[in-house]
Amino acid sequence: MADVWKEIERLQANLQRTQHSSTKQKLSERNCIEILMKLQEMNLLDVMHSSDGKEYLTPKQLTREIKDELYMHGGRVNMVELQQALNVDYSHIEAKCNDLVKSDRKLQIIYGQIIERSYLDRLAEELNDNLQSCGQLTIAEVSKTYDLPGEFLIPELMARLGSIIQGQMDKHRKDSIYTEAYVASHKARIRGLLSAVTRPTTFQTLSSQDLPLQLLFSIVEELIKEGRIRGQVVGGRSEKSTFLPNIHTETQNHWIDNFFAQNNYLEYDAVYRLGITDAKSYLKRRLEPSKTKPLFLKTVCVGWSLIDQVVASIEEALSNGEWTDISVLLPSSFSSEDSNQLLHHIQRERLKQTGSVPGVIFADTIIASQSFVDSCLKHFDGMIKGKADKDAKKASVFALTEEERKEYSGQTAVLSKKADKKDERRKKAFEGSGSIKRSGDGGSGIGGREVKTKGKDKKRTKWKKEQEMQEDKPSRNQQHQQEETSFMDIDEITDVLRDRHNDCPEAFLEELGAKLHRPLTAAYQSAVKSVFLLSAQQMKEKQKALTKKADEFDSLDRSSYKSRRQLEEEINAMWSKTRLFMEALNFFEGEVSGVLQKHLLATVCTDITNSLFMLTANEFLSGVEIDKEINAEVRIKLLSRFPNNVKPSLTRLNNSLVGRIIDEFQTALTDATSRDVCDVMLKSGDKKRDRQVSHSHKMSHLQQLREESNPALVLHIATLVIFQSVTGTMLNAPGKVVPNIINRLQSFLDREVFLNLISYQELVLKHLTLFNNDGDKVEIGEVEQKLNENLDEIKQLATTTKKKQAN
Amino acid sequence: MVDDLTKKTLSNIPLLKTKAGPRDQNEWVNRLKEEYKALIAYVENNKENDNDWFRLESNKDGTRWFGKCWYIKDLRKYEFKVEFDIPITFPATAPEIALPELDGKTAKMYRGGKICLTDHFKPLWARNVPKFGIAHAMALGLGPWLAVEIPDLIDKGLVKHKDEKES
Repeated sequence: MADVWKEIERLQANLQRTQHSSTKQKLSERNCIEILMKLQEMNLLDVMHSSDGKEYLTPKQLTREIKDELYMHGGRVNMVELQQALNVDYSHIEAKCNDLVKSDRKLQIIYGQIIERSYLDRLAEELNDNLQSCGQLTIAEVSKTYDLPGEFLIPELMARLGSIIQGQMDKHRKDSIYTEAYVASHKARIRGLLSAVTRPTTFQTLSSQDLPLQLLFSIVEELIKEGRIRGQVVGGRSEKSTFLPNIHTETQNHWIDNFFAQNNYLEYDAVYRLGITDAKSYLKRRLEPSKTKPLFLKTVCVGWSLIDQVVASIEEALSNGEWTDISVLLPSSFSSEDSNQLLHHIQRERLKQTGSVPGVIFADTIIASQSFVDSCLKHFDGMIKGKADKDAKKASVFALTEEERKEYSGQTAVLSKKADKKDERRKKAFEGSGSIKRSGDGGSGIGGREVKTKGKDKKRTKWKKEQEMQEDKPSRNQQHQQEETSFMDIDEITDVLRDRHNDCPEAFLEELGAKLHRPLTAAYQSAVKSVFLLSAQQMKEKQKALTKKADEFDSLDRSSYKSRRQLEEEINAMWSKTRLFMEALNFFEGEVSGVLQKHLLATVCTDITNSLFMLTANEFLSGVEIDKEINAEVRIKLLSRFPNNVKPSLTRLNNSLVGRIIDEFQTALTDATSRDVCDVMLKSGDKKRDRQVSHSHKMSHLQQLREESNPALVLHIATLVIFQSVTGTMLNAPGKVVPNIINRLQSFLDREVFLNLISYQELVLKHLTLFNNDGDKVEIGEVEQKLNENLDEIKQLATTTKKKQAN
Repeated sequence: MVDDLTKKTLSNIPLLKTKAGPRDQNEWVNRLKEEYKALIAYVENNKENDNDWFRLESNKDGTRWFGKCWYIKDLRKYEFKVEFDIPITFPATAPEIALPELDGKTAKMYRGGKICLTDHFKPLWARNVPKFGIAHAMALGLGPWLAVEIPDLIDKGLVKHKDEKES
């Protein structure tokens, strides 16, 4: 029992002891952290905590640990790895490492890695081993293997070149290291290769062995510099660049020189085939400085001797009035473009020299002298005449007019600014008609009007038929259509030429034909005109003889063809003439004036009225056949069918024709053309146009005069011309008033001239009376002789007479 | 209920096995031994956790216990005498711990300074007879009572620090 109590006592004591033992002082973790932070804040303590927050480190400890790690990793360690290994915040490590690098020269930081110099030394040693075994190392490879940037490696390696690393660095690009032996072996190989090579070799093929391009370049350059191999590098430092052995260039140049010297020309193609890409400029460089000074065409260059040859043959051909095709003279390798270029060049050169025969270029390669072309034109003279005669028989002046009108309207469609010209031309055409009529009046005095209308319609019908024909040929273009109506189309001309010159190439003939086409057309038209003018009277008779049946045949279509516009233009043209004629009336009085007025009414005014009637008939009486020869009877018939609104005015107009007073006609015409009747715009006189009209009127008279040989007619026309010359007004007069006119002219003319006229007039009268009274034939002969003698004098007078001098 | 901290504390106190009161001669000795061991463990545990808050000793028989306990508030240590007897019916009845100095100062106290334990204490004790002993009574009874009552009493000015008393 006692021991039990003893034990209790012991326990009691134990409890006492326990209770009196000191209490453990304990700080919670939170408190500790707070205290530390406080200390750090107060800068009393410099520690950093590990990233898991369980440990605190002093900077010194960190430095030591970093150094240890660096050592452990063999002199190179990534800072991120350090962070993981040391379990410290990265920013601390980075800051510490930066401090370390600053304080320790052996260390440096590359891409977040601390690297010690010893590591680089070791790396260099390793590289050296590699290098000795491979012969060559590229920086890129090294950089990849060791995961270090090239920019960093290069200076480091450069510093160790020659000491640790036995080798050399590529001087130009610094991207690889070689051993001397490696370079030497390649150099030897390249030397051998390039010495043997005779044609351009691309570096691509050379470097196809494991030789790097850059080294290759430096070696080749070195060799070239040393003069060990002969040649040059073309194309810079790239794969595409080529080594050109001198022997090859020489051969090339030799070949070019030889070829050129022998043949005096050189195709760029041939040069290109030699492997020279920019043949033209190469040749320019190569051949320009030489004495030959070749001419560079599109695909070939030509030497002067060849050119001279060509020039000579051209000169010869041209001076003989012949043509020549230079393509025959040139080598076949010349394209037609080249030939053309050459020809133009020669042409230019020739133009510089005075006195050379002018040539015309055809079909690229053919040059013909102008005289040859002219001679070709001559082939057509006969044909033109024949055709003109033929056509003139069928056609009338109005037909021509129509044709011209067509042609010009075709042109104006393209060039609207030619409109004025067109007007002018048309007017002239009408004047032509006027003058013809005059000559007709002067000669026979009948049927002028009928001739005109009839011819017009015939021609129109013909024209229409042609038009239809042409429409069947779709290939013909508009131009062609118009031209064809005039003379021949180009094909026909070419055919004719081919018959004449069957040795000429087709292309030449075609172009020649095209060239001749226009002058021929012009010539043909003038021929037609002149033929027509000359044969006006004949034609009239012939046409008169043409049966009315034919007319009726045509008239079905015909009326509708004359458009309102045409008619208006006709009316206007005639009216402007009439106005000018009326001015001349002022110079006469009494009976003469009456006669003149009546004449006017019977001629131009009747024409105007007819046109107006025709116009009205077209408009209101569709389907009505209008007999071409509208006479008083027809007019009355028409009048009866006209609607009431136009009837009175036109009736008045018709009636005024029978009267003697031109003024009546004028008022009646103004009335009839007014808006609510026929609605024809009568153009008021315009001085400039009037002058043109009167001038061309005079000119046509003079033309007639030159061709006329009938004394009476000559006198008539001459009188009219002189009248116009001295008074400035146009006169339209019948033959019977010629004496009156001459008398009237007395005051305007020099006495001499006047007497001449008078005497000639007397002769004419005498001749007439004798002739009419069946007088003595001898006398008639005498008078005729005299008349003929003086004919030219009178003609001369007509052209030269001017207004009397003021004295 | 008992808070987590108390629970944890309790778990660190070894449970008793012997069911015996002071009247049971031999068994009481064993019981007393166990009580001591439990107390020692509890005190050690407290010391370990920087939570030492009482001194306790007994008479030779282990029937009467006395000592002192303290409470720290506002950096001041308030010390009180503590005493209690082992009741006859121990361990079925929990010992009535008394703080004689505080007699009459608080409503949560019986005559003679015996503290009013919480409603939970008694059923808890009853459930754990005979496993609970003096150490448990201290941890579950006096500890929480002090933590609740003393700050209140200090605030009311009923309990003063000994320095203030002197002054």
